[in-house]
Amino acid sequence: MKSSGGGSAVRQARIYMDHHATTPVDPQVLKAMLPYFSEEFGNAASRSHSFGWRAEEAVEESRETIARLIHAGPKEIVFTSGATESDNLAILGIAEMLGERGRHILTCSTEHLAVLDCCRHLERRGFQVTYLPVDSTGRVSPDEVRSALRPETILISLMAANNEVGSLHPILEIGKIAKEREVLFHCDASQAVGKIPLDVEAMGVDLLSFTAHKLYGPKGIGALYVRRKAPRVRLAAILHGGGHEGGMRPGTLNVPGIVGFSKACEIAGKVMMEESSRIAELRDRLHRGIVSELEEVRLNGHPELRLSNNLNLSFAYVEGEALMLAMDDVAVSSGSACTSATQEPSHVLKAMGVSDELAHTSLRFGLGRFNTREEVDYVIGRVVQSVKKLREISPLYEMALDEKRGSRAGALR
Amino acid sequence: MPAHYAEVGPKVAMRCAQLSHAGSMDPSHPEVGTGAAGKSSAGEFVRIQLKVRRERILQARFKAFGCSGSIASASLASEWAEGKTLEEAGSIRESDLAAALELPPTRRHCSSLAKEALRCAIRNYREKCRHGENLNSIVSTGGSR
Repeated sequence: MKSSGGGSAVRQARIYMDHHATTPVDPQVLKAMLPYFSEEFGNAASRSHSFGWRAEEAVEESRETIARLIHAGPKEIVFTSGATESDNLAILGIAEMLGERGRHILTCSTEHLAVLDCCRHLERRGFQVTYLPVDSTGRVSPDEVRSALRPETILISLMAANNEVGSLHPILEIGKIAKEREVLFHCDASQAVGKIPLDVEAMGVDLLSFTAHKLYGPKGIGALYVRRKAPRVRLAAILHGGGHEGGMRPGTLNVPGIVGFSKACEIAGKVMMEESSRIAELRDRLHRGIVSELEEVRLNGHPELRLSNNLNLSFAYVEGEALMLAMDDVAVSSGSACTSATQEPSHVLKAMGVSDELAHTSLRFGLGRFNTREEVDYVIGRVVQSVKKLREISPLYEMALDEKRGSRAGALR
Repeated sequence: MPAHYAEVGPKVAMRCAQLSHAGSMDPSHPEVGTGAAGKSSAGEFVRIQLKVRRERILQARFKAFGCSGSIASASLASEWAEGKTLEEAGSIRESDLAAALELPPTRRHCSSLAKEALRCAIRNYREKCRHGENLNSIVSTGGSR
């Protein structure tokens, strides 16, 4: 971040701390992609000339690199437009393929809407869906998974890491249960890929959704891992129009996107461990800095078992949208209703048992590769200043102070 | 968690930066009427207080827990109320607040809340006058907390 002058230059800069929403494209990724727009522009499905062959070669090399990051085989990677499409393909594709065998799906109330809306769609088509609850830290219990399984369950769909509070589900245990009971296991790992090591074999995952733009790759390209052996997973295509991607996803491949996705995965594979601990340090610095100056700030999510870049806090007595506006040179997200079309606070915080009032006061900080310690320190100052300013005008804060004073006065009497 | 805060526009943003007429008065003071509207569980709770002498509002102050639209609406309603008679202030319309702040249609609940809190404060002051000072600690609200 450039800041030539004093404080005012910094004030105008926009600090990006919303990396769960999306990430900037890494310059190395962009560089790798550029030749594939107008020089190597061939259609990877063109078999009759070298333009097509070279595009195909780039795609197949990329497929291997991407597969390696999750310990899969290249033939197990199906390219899609992003994680939402991958979730749709996994859930609707399995439902169509196995709907004769059973019509029950197991998922969780804190999943991303890409999963929840697919499940609701299937419910309207006669499927039954169990939405497992989570504990106060946002995690599902393996025992609950086990006891909710039925003979007619065809799919378990649970995310690796939550996009709002960063909590990690016990995926390894759930994978074991899925194997024991011979139920397919789909995992939306959009937030986790490139941040924590993932191994589809160790996890016992049969289908895994992920996307490039959450790990410093371009938007518009994602993948679904589809297991090929033990068991060989078969799913019905949800789009129609050609036999691409093993018949599972037609359409001309997004070659520059795939090359960028691959480069992003390659970088993530190299830097993940170092980067995660560096970002966790920044995240903890941000957290400590805020709570050392403000009272009644509550951490949402699991204190340890969560993504290294996630910090979701509730600032009692201050509404989230107003808080974001007060510190509008810092880009973050809020779980408050005024930021959603539905006027309902975050379904994730509600499922974790956070009260509606407190859910309205939550902010999500998502740190990333290019955030600096200076930015973190600046954000601490802005948050503290903005919360104090808004608490000054909050009637709830005034009432809480009055109550405290009253009880203290009562105790003195 | 999409951030839609840019949608509220410059009028709301400016008012939220200035926070004019924010503050509180002693609700038990015989000249002060206090009104509130909204629910904290719905993410919005607005309080407006008026200091009244001979039917004229000498001072209006607000406190708000809510989005930028609610804060801006309560601030503007207080500003408009100051100097007006109770009757004039009671006829401040939600649509006028919304228009002055250029509130998008999705934020009209913000201006209604401010209007409601203002009318509650007027009602509360009138009740106080009717009942005398013994009941002057009663606070009229448009919705429970």
